[in-house]
Amino acid sequence: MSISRSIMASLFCFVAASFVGVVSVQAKKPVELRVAVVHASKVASKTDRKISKRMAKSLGAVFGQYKSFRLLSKDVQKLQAGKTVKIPLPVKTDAIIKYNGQEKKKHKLTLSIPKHKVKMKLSAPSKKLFYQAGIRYKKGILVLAFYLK
Amino acid sequence: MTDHENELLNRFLDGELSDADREEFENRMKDSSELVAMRDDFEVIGAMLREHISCESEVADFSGFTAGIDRLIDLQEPAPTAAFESSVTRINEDKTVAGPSNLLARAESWWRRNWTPVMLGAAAAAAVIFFVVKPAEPPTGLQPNDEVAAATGNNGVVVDSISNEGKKTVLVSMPAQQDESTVIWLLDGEEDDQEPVEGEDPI
Amino acid sequence: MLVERYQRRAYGIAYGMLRNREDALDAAQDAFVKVFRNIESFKGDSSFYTWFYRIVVNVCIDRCRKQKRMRSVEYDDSYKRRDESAGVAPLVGNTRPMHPGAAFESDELGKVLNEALGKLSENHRTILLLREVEGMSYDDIAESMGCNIGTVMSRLHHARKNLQKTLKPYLEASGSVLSKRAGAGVRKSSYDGS
Repeated sequence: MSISRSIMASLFCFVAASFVGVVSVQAKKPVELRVAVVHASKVASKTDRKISKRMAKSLGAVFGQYKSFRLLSKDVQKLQAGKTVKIPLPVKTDAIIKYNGQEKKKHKLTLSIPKHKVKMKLSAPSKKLFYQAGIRYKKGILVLAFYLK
Repeated sequence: MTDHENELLNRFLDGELSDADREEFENRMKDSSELVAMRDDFEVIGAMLREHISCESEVADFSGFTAGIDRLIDLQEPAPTAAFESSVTRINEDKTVAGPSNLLARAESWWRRNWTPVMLGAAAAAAVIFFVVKPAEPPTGLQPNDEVAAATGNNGVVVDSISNEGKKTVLVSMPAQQDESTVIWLLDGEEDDQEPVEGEDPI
Repeated sequence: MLVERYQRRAYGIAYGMLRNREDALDAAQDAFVKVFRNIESFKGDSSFYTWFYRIVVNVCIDRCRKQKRMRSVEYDDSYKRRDESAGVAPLVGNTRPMHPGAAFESDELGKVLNEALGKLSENHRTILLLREVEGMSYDDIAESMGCNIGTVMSRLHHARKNLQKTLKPYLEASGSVLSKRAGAGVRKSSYDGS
């Protein structure tokens, strides 16, 4: 085999190895998790301006029987696979979210609410708003809004 | 008996009387044997009904109940939509490869003569792409696989498993349309139907 | 898990409405299918179980109306036989003597009650079952039935009065026996200090 071909083969192997390295780095790239805790109330009042228009529209569509929405808290976290984050709720409990990594374009999460002994495993795509709702709070319910990117 | 007495009687039986109304009703009962008799009859009728329904529910055979529900759901599954069918057809067509055999032979001969510069160019291009340029954002338009995923409802959040050892009922509401959101409901069982918890407001 | 939690309650309501075991099982299954198919329409504005019972009640009322239509189209001896096998007494001529003890063995009680329930209108029967058997509050019944509390109270009273009228001979005949049985099963009200 000529020297030039050897150099070419080596270069190709280097590129291939770099590609594999980049892919694995991509897999370990942290995901940004955004969580908003919203109070959906049956008492009519102006919807909180701190809630984005997109989320306000979505809340109105999904929780149509509630007359107003108020943002109680917002949290943005960068999570590596295996990391857990606690979201405090105003009903003397936390929502606990564990990020389990990514599989085939979907992020794997475990969402648990220890006070109610509930634990759920979810597969969520990026940039898709989804909710956990129903815990009673002050003439309404708590809505946890999740968004991953 | 007056309408007011009828109302008091029913509210009394159903535990819907305020303290003041209850006192009034008890006073009325002291003076009305008819009211007392009706109260007794209504209580007995209620007890009979509860016992009857309870006995029936205990003896009912639920062994094939859930399977029956699954069968009914399967029977009612909608036929695949035209959009889904056409997207499957398109994917199958994309996968079809055809070409004359002499073209392959020509390609092979060309590769033997020119593989060095091709490899060099490919290596340089790969290095540029992966070390300098960020990966491009996924296209906003649907790709054929996305269309299939959307048609089969797999583009949203999926609940893989639920562990529920508490008294709440967990319901998952999956979106019917692509722009809707999944909602995971945590709902009170009837035993927990009580006033909302007054907790501290973090804001 | 949802099915296991609610199947007996759904069956209980359906049986009270339809007074036939097979129909009640079918109606309960239909109700669960409707729950699964329409779950995205649940907006959380009511408790889940009042929403669920609304579905069960509507399925049962639809069945009742269908049965009525079928009955008015053709009278069939087999209908009467089906009812008897499910524990509903024939509508004509119950000539058994009534006395304490024998009158209130559970199958006799079942037949008598089914007959009495059959004489109520669907709405009266539903409200009575939701209140007496499920113990739902007036608010929850109103929500499940899609009516106001005044209507609930009025229908409940009429249902009880009508049952009292139908069951009068049994109530009078069995006096103390009934009282004892009632004591075992009376739902305690929240203000009941006894």
